[in-house]
Amino acid sequence: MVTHILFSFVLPVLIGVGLVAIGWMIPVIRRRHWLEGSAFGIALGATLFASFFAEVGMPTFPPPRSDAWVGLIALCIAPIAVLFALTGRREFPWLEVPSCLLGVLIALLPVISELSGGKAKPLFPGMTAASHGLLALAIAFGGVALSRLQQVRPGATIPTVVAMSCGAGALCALASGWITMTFLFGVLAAVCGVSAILARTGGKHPIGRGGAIAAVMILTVLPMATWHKTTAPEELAWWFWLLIAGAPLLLLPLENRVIAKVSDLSAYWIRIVVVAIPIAYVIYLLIPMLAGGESSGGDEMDEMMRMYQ
Amino acid sequence: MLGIKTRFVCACLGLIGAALFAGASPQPSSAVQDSDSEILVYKLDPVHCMANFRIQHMRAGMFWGRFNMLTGTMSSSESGERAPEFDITVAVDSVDTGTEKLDRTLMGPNFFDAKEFDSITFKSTEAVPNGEKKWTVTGDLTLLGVTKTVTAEVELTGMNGNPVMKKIGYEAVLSIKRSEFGMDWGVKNGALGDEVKLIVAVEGDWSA
Repeated sequence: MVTHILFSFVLPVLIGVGLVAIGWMIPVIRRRHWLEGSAFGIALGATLFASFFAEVGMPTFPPPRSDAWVGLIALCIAPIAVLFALTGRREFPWLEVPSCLLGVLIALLPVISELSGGKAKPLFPGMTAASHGLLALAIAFGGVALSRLQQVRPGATIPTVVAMSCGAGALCALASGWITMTFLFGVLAAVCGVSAILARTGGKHPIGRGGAIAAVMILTVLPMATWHKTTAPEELAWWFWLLIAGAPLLLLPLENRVIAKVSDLSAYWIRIVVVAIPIAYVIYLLIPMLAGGESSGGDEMDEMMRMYQ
Repeated sequence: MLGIKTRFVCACLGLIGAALFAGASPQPSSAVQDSDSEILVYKLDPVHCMANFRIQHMRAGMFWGRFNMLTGTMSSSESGERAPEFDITVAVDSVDTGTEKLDRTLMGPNFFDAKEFDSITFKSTEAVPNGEKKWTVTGDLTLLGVTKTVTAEVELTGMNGNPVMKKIGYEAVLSIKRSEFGMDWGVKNGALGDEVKLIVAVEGDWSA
């Protein structure tokens, strides 16, 4: 049990925090904007992959089982984060086109897998063509939105809200019965949380386009995987995931003149509280699912009685 | 002394009679003619079938669970002495540990991955007698899309019925290493054992 927590949680968190600290704290690296702008993304990708590797092992391509896509996508996050960070602050089409291409590429992974000798099946079980399209759209829109947001809102705000989303994702995955995904969301929440503290205390570090696209990939692919791969309780509806993954987008309307007039610290807390409302609501609904569901003995007795009738 | 014409007529009548008799008693669809006795194909009765599994938890106690929904067929001779053949499908979402949360975890990607692999199948390929009404049955077990040859000790637990309806029951005991099928969560850290003992009780129905 101790070794499990050490390899699946503690070590991946240390890797992630170490990478963020190196990217944000060392002056030589900070001077290279593309490195600073991709440090958070590289850290998220490395953390996710390290935890996945400890839990499942090395993913193979084409994947024999669809959960391996999570490991393969985790492997791709760091290089994608670097590529996005290299675009710096360039305007259209440097952000929009790569975001759309990435969304389409992830949605087409099953086709790429099939062409490489894999079986023809959806990215995750039960996903329709519409679900793949929705995933592509979410990555494209989320990538553009969060990248623009991090340009105007550097510092702790975005890492904090991503940490909150990942924390709630861990609880949702636990209620759905996927232990590995609980660890994955958990380590990501921890790395984002520590990153928020580093950003708050050590200067307003931007997560960069690299960090933004990494966060978007995580908050779209992981919920989609959990929803389609698990047998969640009936009470756990699809919109739980929508609220968890979509909550950071509430920061967009908060970039207005009214909030801009408030002090920096107050504005930070207003933003956090607004994003926390839907997440807290989901957690409130999840608590009975995590606490209940002990014995189903009564139902079994009913079934047995029916057999003899 | 019968004439050639009479013998020819008798032979023709005999052939017609034999043909009519054969037509009047067709083979039932679930029965196959064997050299010594009729082979009956029994359909599994899901209510009275279950697959129990036992696994070590945290290197301590033995934990039991079961699958409630087994479907398929098994065949044996009318006397039950012929080596049985099995073709069984287990519905993964029928896993039952008595705790809903644990059932959900077992159906999840860490274990049986019910959304991607909705069934476990076993198809026997060979049966060698090893005692009275006992056989060592070899067959292909498919779990998580991985097929491995496994061996089970099978015992005929009983048979009952009449010429139009029959019941037969078997019990099989086997052990597998779940990691060989790609289900290795918790093996390395000792949270759950690798070896799983299976006790499968099946009951089949045949009707004419």
